Amino acid sequence: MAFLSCDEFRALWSDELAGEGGREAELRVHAGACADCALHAQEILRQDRVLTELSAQTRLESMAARVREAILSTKPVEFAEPAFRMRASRPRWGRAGVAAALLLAALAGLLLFRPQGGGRVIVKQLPDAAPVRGVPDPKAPPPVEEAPVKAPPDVREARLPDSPPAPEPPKENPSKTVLAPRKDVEAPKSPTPEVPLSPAKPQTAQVDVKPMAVQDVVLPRRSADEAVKLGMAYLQKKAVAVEGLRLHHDLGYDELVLWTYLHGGAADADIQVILRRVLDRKLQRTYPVALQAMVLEKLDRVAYQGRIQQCAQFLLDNQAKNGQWGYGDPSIFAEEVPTPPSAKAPKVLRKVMVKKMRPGPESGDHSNSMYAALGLRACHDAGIIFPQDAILLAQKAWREAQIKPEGGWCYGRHEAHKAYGSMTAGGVGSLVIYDYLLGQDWKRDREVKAGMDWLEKRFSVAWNPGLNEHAGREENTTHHYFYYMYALERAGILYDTALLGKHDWYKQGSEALVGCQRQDGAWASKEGGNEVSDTCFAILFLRKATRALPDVPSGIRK
Amino acid sequence: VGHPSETRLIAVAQGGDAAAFEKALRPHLPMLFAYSRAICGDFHAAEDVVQETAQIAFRKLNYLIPEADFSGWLKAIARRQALAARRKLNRAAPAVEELIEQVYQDPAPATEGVKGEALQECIDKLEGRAARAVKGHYFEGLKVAELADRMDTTPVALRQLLHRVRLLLLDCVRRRIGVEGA
Repeated sequence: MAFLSCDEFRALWSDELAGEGGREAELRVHAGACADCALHAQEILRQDRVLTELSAQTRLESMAARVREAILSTKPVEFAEPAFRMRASRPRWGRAGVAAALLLAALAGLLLFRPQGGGRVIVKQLPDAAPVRGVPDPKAPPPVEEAPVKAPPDVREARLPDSPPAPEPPKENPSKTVLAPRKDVEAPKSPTPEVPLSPAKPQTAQVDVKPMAVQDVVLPRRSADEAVKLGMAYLQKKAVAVEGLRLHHDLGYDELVLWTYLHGGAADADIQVILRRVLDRKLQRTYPVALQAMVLEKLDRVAYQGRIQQCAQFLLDNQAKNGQWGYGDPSIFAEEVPTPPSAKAPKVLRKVMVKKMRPGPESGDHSNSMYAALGLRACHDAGIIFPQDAILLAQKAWREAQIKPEGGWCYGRHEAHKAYGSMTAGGVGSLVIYDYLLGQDWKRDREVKAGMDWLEKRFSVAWNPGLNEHAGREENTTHHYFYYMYALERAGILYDTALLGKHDWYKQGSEALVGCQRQDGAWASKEGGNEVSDTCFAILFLRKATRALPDVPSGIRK
Repeated sequence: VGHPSETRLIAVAQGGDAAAFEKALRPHLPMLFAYSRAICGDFHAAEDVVQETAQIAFRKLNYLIPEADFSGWLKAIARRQALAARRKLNRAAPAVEELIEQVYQDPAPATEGVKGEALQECIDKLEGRAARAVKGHYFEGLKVAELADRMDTTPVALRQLLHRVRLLLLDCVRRRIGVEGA
C-alpha cells in the first residue's frame, strides 16, 4: 500500500464523501499520520454535514412522510407500562397548585392535631395501609399491620457452596447454584453493614422529602424492607411477563436486573435464568459489560475470573483517548482472552494483568464513564491489574471535566452546561474509585471534596438537583431521578459518609423512595428512565448495594 | 432538540402514539440523514437508513435507558443500520469513523452557528457548474456517474470539480469568518 501525498489524500477524501470510495485503508493510514490532513478532513466533513442537512431540510416533509409510513404498522414493544404518560404535560401551575394544596392540607392537619415535637418538618400520618388505587395485587406482601417482614438475606450469606458456574440448579434444592461464597479472599470490609435497614414498623412520611417523581400517591406505611420485597415481586413478574428481560442488549437491562436480583433477595433459579443469558452473550457495550463484571465479581470472583478478565479487556480497549468511556464496541481482544472451563476454575484468586490492545474513540460521556469505573473496581477486586496509565487517564478526565467553580459535573464536556446531581454523584464515586485503585486518599482529593460540597449544597432526595442538560433548561427536574438516587448512594458509601453536611442521605432518601413507590411495587420517573430500570435503581439504593471500599494503604490516611 | 417538550412527546409516544413520536423525531431527521449518509456513503441508502432507524426507535422506545439522550440513542441505531447498508453496497468500513463521530457529536443543527451560516452564504454565491454540481449531488442525490452524464462531462472530471468546490467553500467560509471577526 503506497503512502499518499497530502494532495492525493485531500482529493481522495472528497471522492470518499462523494460516495466514490475504495481506498479507505490508505485514507485511514494517512489521516493517522498527518495531523494537518486529519484536520482538513474534519473541516470538509463538517462542510459536508451542513450541505447534507440543508438538503434534508428542503425534503423534510417527504422524509417525515416516509417515517410516518414506516411507523404506522409498528407499536412500541410493551415490556412495561409506559414510564409516564400525559401527566408529564401537566402545566406548571398545576404542579404548583397540587403542592400548595398539599401544603395547606398539611398545615390544617398541624393545627387540628397538634403533633408533638413541633419540628420544622410537616408529618403526614396515614390511615391504615389501604390500597391507594387500583386492585391490590394478590401476590403482594401483606399489609404492614401484620408481622414485620424479615429482611431478605444477603445473597452471599444465603447461597451456597463451592460449585463453579453450573448450568441449571436442581429445582428441589435451589440453593445449589453457582453462587459460591468466596473462600479465597476476604471481601473488603465494609464500615457500614450491607443491609442496614430498619426493622419493619409503621412509617411516617415527610412531606418535604416526597419526590416529585410520582404524583397522586398517598404515602403508604411501608418499611424499606417491604418496599424492596414489593419491588422485587414487580421485577420478577415483569421478567415472566416478557419472557425474560432481554430488553436492550446494548444498554444492559439484563445485567442491571441481575445486579438488583443479587441485592434484592431473588431466588437462585431466577438469577440463573438471566445469568445464563448474560454469559452466552458477546460483550458489546460499556454499561452491560461493567455491570456484568460487578455481578460476576459478587457471585464468585474466582470461578468467573476468566470472564471478568474479558470484561476488563473490553473496558480497557474501549477507553477513549481522553480517558472517558462511551457506549463502546466489541473488542476482538476481549474474545481472545481464554476463559478457563468452569470445572477447572482456580481455587485461589490469581492476579492477571491486562493491557490495552486497541485505541478507543476520541471521547465518551460521564454516564458510561461512571459505570465503567464501577466495572473497573469490580475487575480490580477480582484480581485484574490494569495499567496505571489507564487509571491515571480516567482520573484526569474526571478532574478536567469538573465544572469550576461549581464543583460538579454534567453529562458531556460542554462548556455551556451546568453541573447536576446524577453526574456529580457519579463523578464523586468514580474519582473515589480511581483514588482507591491508585492507593490515594480520596478524602484529601480536592475534586472529590468539591463534588461532595456540591452534593451537600444542592442536596435533594426529591429531584435530580441542578440543570440537567437532558431536561432542557430547567433546574431541579425529576429527569432520571432514580438513576440519580443510585448514584447518590454510591457517592455516600464510596466516600464513606453517612451525612452530606447535616443531611442523613440514606434516611431521607429511603423515606422518599418508600413514599413514592407505586402500589404494584414499581418505581417510575415521570421524566427519563423506565419502570424496570427505575425500580432497579430504587432497590439498589434501599439495599445499599454498593460495597464500601477498604481503607487506603496504611500511612496515607490513617 | 433535547427540550422538555421532546421529553413529553416521547412520554406520549411510549404509549403508542405514532404522531407524537414523529413530532419528537422530526427535528433530528436532517442530522440523522447526514450522519447516515456520511457512514454509508450513499444518498438513497441513507434515506432508507433513516426510515429503518425511525421504525426501530419507535418499536424500542420503551427501552430508552436513563441518561441516553434521544438524539444519541437515535444515532446509535442509525450507525448500525448505516454500517449494514454500507456492507450491502460492498464498501469497506468508513475510512475514518472517529472523524464522523467527532463532527456529529453535537446534535444541534449544523446549519446554525457562525460557520453554518457563513457556509450557507458561500453556497448562495456559487455559480455555473459549481452550483450545478452541488445542487445535483447534495440536493438531488445524483451519483457521480449520473451527474457527470447530466453535465456532459466524465466522472473523473466531476469528482475533481466537486473537490475544487469543497476547497472553494472552505476558503470562502474562512475569509467570511475572518472578515466578520476583524
